Amino acid sequence: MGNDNQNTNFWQRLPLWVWGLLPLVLLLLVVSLFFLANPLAFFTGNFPPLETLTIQQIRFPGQNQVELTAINGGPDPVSIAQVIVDDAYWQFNIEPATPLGRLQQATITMNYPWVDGEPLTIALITDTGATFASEVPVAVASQAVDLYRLFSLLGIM
Amino acid sequence: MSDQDRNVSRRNFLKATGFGVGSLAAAVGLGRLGRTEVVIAQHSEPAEHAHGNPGMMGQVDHEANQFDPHELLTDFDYGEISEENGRTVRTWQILAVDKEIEIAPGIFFPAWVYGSATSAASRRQGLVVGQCPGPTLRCVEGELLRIIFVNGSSHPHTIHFHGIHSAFMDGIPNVGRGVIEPGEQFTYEFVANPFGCHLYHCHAFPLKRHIHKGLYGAFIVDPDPAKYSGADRDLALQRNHQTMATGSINEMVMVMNGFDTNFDGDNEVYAVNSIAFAYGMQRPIVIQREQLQRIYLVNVTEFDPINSLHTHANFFDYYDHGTTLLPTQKTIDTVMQCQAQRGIIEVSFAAFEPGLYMFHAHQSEFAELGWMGFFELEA
Repeated sequence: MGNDNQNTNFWQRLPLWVWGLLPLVLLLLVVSLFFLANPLAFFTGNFPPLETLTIQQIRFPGQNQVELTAINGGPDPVSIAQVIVDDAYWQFNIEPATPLGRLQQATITMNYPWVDGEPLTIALITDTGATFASEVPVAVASQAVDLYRLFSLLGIM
Repeated sequence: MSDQDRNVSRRNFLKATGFGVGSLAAAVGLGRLGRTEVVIAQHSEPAEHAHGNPGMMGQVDHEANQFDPHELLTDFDYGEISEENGRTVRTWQILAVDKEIEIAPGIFFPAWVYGSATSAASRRQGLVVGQCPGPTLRCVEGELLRIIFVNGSSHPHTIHFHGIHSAFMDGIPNVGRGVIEPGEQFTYEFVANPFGCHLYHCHAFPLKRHIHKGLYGAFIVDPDPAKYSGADRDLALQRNHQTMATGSINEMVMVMNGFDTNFDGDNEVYAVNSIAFAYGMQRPIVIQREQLQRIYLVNVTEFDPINSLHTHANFFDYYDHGTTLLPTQKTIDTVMQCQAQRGIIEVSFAAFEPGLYMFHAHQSEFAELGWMGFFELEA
């Protein structure tokens, strides 16, 4: 009992600011443990790179012209190796050069004799051989946005 | 002058000379076509830009692959020859390994491949190099063949030869020695028979996966001229690598294959000897007019029922399976093969003009996905 009293006295004798600091110290301890032990390794450790490439838009700016944008929505960098149009490899330009980092976007342009009013499938093949395809149900020339017309229309509405 | 300048000036030229279809129609009195005329005139204008080019961007690093499709084309692996009780014995040391190969510029495939101690690639580099297709093993009918197979891959494999042999030496699971586990070895032994253009491949299950991953190669058995007489003997002499007239025939091996790079049961890349467009315009197969061209053609394409070879501007003779001394089909320009079917093509370019002569699968899809090449006939 005497010991208990002594302990109680000890805790009671501690200044108030120490009690205030205690949660912060505990928090620091937990946070540093989290970073040192890296418990998230379980989720990222032994998996092959996850490639997530999305073709956002395919445009036909003119006769024989195809332009598309692709974005890397995955955590790992993605290298676009080749472009396949309707089951045929086709030469292209890409800007910026791959690999694409996380959430990085690239524009691919190519000269391809697309046929007005017919469907078209474009696939991007990465260095690992994964393919990401997008189908255009009906290919039609893309209209350039005329801002004056657009805002006039908005004004009328 | 940029493309655009050239196009504009060409268009102006057409306008100035009244050569557009619309203005031509008007000129010959078909005027008052109104809207239709305008539409025709628009379509008759030259394209703003070129149609673009089929094909791929970049180059395959053959050095990193450790094998070159141009080297594979003419590399016949004769193994090591010895003599036992008056019989010629031919021995090969074949290794199976896991190896990532660049099958098209920038596209890497996790392959399983064979390599041989006596292949050109291995001798050049001083170590057993895995290659796809595997080494072209070549021998003469009647010889005793010993294939010492070492499995250095992380999966069990076999070598199953298309030829005549005992059940024990068939190289399939659960028969004879069965599958060869990783780190183990086995020697297949049989007599080379019948002569012809054959193939070998892994027969471990799942079969489709083990073949399409790259475990296959050509297996050529030459006829033994001593076994034939008369006209047959002359034909056998011309077919046998040891007796054919030096320099008169250019022999090539073409293994038609495909790669399902995203494992969806459909090939993304087609080729002969693995590398897409390997013999394309940038690196055609250079041939001479005075040589007969002999192609040992093997189809190992997985997932598609057939593959084919078509020669441009020329016709050829074809020996199905290569097991006959006379052609089974004469004067054709397209030949079709199911999986594991193979044969010998003999084509002559004598008296042809120099230039580029195309050859490809006449499934247009396969051609545009990589199975397309050129012969460059020298002057």
